[in-house]
Amino acid sequence: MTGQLPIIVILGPLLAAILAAFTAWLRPKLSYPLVVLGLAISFTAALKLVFIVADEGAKIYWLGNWGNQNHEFVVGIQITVDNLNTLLLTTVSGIALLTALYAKRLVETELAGRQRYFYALLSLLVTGLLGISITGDIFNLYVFLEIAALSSYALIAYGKGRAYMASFNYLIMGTMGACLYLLGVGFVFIKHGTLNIDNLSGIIPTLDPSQALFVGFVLILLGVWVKMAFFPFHGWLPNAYTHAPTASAAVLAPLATKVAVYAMLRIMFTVYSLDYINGLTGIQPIVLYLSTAAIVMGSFFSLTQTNLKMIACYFIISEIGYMVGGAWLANRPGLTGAMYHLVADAAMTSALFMAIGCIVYRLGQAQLDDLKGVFFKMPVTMAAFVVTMAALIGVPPTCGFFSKWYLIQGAAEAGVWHFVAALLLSSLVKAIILFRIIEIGYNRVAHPAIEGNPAIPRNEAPLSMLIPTVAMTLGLIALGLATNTLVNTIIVNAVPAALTQ
Amino acid sequence: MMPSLPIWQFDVLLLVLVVLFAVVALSIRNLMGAAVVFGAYSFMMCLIWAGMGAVDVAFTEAAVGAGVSTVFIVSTIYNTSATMRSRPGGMAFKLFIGVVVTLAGVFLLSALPDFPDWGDPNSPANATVAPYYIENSIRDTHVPNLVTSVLADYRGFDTLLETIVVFIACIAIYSILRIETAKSKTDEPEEDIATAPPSYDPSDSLIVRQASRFMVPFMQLFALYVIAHGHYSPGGGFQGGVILGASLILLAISFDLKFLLRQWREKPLMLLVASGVCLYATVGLACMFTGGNYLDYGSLDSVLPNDRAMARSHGILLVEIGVGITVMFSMLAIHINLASNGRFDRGL
Repeated sequence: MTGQLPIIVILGPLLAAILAAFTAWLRPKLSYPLVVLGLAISFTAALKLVFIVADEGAKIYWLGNWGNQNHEFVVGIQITVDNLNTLLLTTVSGIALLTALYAKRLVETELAGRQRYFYALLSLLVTGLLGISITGDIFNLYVFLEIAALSSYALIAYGKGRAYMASFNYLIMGTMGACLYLLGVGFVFIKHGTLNIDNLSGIIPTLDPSQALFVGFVLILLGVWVKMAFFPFHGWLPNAYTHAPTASAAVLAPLATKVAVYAMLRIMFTVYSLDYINGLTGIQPIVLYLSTAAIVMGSFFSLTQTNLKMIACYFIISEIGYMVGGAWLANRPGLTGAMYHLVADAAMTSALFMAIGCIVYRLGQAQLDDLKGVFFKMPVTMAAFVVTMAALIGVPPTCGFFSKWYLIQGAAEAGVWHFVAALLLSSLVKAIILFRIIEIGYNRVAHPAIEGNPAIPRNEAPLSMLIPTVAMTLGLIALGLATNTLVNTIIVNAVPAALTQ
Repeated sequence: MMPSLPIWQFDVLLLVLVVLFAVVALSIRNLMGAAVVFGAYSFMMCLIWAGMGAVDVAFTEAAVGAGVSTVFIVSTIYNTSATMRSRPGGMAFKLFIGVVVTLAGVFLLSALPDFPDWGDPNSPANATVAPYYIENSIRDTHVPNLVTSVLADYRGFDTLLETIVVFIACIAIYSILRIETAKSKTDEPEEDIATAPPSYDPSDSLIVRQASRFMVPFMQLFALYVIAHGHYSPGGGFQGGVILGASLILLAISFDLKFLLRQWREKPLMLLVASGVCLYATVGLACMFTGGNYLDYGSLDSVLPNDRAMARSHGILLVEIGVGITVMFSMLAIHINLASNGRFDRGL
């Protein structure tokens, strides 16, 4: 049975989605528990794989049992679980499960009467994201990219009104990204004749560097940059995630962009190689400047926004800059930081959107001006929110501190001081925003504990939303405390071997 | 050296036409015209694929690109507008776009000298996994059409996921169009169809009706042949499913949507859309229960009468049928949604 674990990670949400499409018509109430069950199976399998892979090394699974058949190349499709993606698989399925538990009340109120295929699409989105993370085949990755993208367009369009236009913009941009990626895969294939990532990583270092290889690399890179909303391709993200239903945003925001970053890491360091990246002396500084620009722009625009969701969206854009920058530093601490931040940022963004979702559920919207007194109305939610913001700022012992620590260390080692400055600036901006929210939510009303001031009634979000939010927030601290274990047992094996010796 | 066949002259002609059609489709102001030109563009692409020997791809392009997607565009136009409101960008914007596109083109072409020659038997694409398929497909799967064995068996997982992409497209369009309008339907008074004719009515031609009534059974028979004979000749679930869907769409267009909706109710239609992918996924799961990996049809030999290779052949047939079901009903459901603007009552 353990041999089948890698495919079970995918099959859980996949089969749940197909069954949910039936129950949507036959027994509408069953769709939700089915999808939760599918995600739970997937999460359990992914968690088990973390330990198995940490002990025994990478696990390979051949679909249809088409392995290499005594042939030099794998003839079928392979999925690979190694130290680079076990953590991500667990994060994706875990956050998806927690968000699904969290989202039930939100979906019932926001999408009343319209939720027929919502959970099926949610489950398919998670299938796509898990597939991108687990596949060992660059074309299969494209197909999963399509699955994740198509279902996210629909999930965003559920938001009605301005969400249609936002979803349409995302569709155009996302399709462009997928096209660029596919074109790049074509260029790689025409030079190598195989799509299998392990085979490609064996061949590419042996070939003379060629222009076709380079063009393919750039096209794939541009494709995943569009998908992850890296500056200057970030235009689609803020509107799409702000106007999407809160439940869709809560699962899309933490996961979709992070998985695209993983795809970039996989292409950069497994398909191509560290030497290849280091050889691109003209490209590396440009990408690092773009990362700095992403962080600075994201921070700047988050300051100018008045909607809490919009602010969170610009946080995502600046965090993407962290990871792309960390990856392109191409040294040990930088890469460790980028890989650790994949998990940490997914958790932080998830906690942030969950807390915002709780606020939206009670207040109806998330304009900064509406937050007056929110600390008294929703103390638990706001406590979670403050802890999450502290993690995003980088306060120890939360996970945000450690990823920033590694990234700064990496940037300093490489002498990329503008990136260090951008990281610090980003923390500063987040601190300003946190204090602004505290100022509005806590100080702008007369303190109810003082005699003579009007009491503010407690109006906390329902427990089904509050518990996942608090759990995710505590997870940020737990993740921070577990940093050492994660980095020394798993991430150290995911960083290219040349860097760890 | 290859004997000089007049292949490249055809290729040049077709490529020139493709570029021409693309430019015309982009510059034409009337969207209905653009849709038709776009269909012609797809048809030229289909000929280019055929010229390259990729007959299965050409077949799909003809069925999907030139055929059913043109119908989708037309039915979308029917419910929106054939004229476009364009906001002409400023000169600076046009110049910027022009520079970006030119640079991108130059960048793409810069890799061209690195490419292996067209049809070079020693090129990487022909020398790595392709020889394995050519030498072993018959032995492994008893399927003479390599494209089918690669598509449905060696890379069957991709095909399962592609079918799911079609399925997602269908339920996404359903979720966006149908569920929204179903709610607002009660607000608007039920119009009498006779008093509110559409801008033009294609369904009033006796010739069109009788001709399509005559054609539909033959189309469906051909589609079933395409699915069933995909093991031996170009074709398979995607193409056959699209043709089956198109035959019903033809009925819907030549009569009207009400005619079709009398036979196809919403609920069974949407259940059938899901049942195709369900069949595919279940075949994969059955392989796991008979002791193989996911989609390892070979392990079905314990329940099927013949050897492993024959079991693979049967497995391929089963999943092709699954693909066919999902594609056929997805095409139909997408068309009904687009043509009736999600109301499932009347339309193109």
